[in-house]
Amino acid sequence: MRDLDSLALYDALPPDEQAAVAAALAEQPALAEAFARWRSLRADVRVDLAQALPDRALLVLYALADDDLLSVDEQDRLEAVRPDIEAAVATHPGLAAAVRRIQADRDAFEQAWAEAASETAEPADVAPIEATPIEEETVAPRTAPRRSAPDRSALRASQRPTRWVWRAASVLAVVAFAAVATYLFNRDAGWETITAQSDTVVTLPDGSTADLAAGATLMVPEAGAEDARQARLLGGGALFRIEHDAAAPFTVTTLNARVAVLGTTFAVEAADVETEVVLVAGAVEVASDGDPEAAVRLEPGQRTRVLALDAPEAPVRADLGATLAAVDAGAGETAEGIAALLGERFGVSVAVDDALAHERLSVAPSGDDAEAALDALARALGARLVAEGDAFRIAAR
Amino acid sequence: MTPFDPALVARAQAGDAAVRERLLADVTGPLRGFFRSRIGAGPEADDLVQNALLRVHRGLDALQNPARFKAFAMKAALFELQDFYRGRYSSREALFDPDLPTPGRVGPEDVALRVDLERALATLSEHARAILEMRELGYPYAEIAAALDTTEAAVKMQVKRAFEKLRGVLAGAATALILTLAHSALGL
Repeated sequence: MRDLDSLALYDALPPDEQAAVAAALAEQPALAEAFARWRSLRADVRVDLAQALPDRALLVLYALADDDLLSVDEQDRLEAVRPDIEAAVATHPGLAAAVRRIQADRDAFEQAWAEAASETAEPADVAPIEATPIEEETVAPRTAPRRSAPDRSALRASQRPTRWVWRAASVLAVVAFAAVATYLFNRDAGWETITAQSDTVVTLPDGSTADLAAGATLMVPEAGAEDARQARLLGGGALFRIEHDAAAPFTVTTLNARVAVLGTTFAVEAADVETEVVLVAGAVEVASDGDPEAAVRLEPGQRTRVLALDAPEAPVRADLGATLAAVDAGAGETAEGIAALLGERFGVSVAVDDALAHERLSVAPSGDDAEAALDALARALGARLVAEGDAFRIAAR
Repeated sequence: MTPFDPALVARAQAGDAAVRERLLADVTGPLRGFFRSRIGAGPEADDLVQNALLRVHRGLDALQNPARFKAFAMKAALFELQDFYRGRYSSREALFDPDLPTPGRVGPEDVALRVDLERALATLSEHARAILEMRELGYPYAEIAAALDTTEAAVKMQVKRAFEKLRGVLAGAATALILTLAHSALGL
């Protein structure tokens, strides 16, 4: 190992160096323990930040609040939580720095906007992009320095062949994008799009629900749609609880995969070319858009992943705690809800004392069996786990 | 009329597909310039451009004031950038690699490894805390350096110092826990 540097900056190391660190730690238990504490501390920092600021989008709104950039709805939303955000920013220097960074991002956007406008405006025969006038009182668009007339004509003469190549390429790019936009516009007709600015529970037309993690985008059929048993997860994480209907399987599609559902609870994390499905309870089949015949059937507690248009990977055991934490982090799942999921997962009956039932956790517990998982949940609540025959109860201390 | 003229934005909202296409095509350049200025010109920047365009496309109908299209596009880009930081560093790490043998991984069962967060962080300077917190918010070290007006090397040095400093605090916490347990066992 290079030294302690490798441990402190482990998260920034390339995979081969991380593997070397892991091998070295296996032979140095004391160092491994120190490293474990370091990671524990950083995980606690992450949890602490998530509790102080459950919705990152609000930090963006907070950073932009003084620039007349927010809509009325956004202003109302921000004002409702402003004292909490101010307290969080005052307590956490990292959040204060993040606010300043977002404001620098705002300035960079203004600059990119102005530069695009000036670049497009230069050729006389191309329609200019105009910086939106109503927003310009805060940041003036940057204007490119003017060249003298002789210089400009000489430059154009020397660049003429190249200009036509670029112009043709630009036209092709616009045509290609227009085709995509048209496809999206037509495809989205009859669908409602929901982008979760914070953790959100969405009730689907058939009564199923989807817990959307902040930033997730879900499309659902509009009311009265012929086929209500479908949804499209365009990005982000979601935990679906599907109403059972053996005669009408529910389908969730992502940009590269399709999940056929019978009646179940499962989580999906979707990116442009990657979809991960974790099954909590019930049964699902996962297929890639590239090879719909090569579907994989998941058992409860298993996960699979679809990369690009490849067939789904072979199912492996999932870390349900991490999955639930990732999907439900932020607003958090209630103790009662997590207990119900774990009970369903392990096939046991679980009760939670009323005093604890509505506590929200930003991190869900994990464990290989019912008792371990429920004990972790109880400890996270500062409670204790009581075995009552074949059932369990999480009791206040 | 220009592509971002409020009247054209309103037409796009009203269902004019050709105008909507033009609007989206014209906002691509500023978005690409913005993301490249923040995270470089790699494929991730192109992904962010596409995702931000989708946000604009899907949110356009809900835009109440067409004259505020630029602010609307800006927020789409900033939300996307925050999601990028958050997803790359925190939630994806937890969701996609739960079974990787990450050394020193700590689960809820590792109670003995947990430390008093407030006490530990109190030993660090505000600058060091800002670095650690920004990292846990998902910012790369280079971005943290830019945000704090310093160099990436200096930021990494601060992290190393924090680790060295906290090793003592963390070891002290463990000792205290062991002593407490021993006293309890002896009935002291």
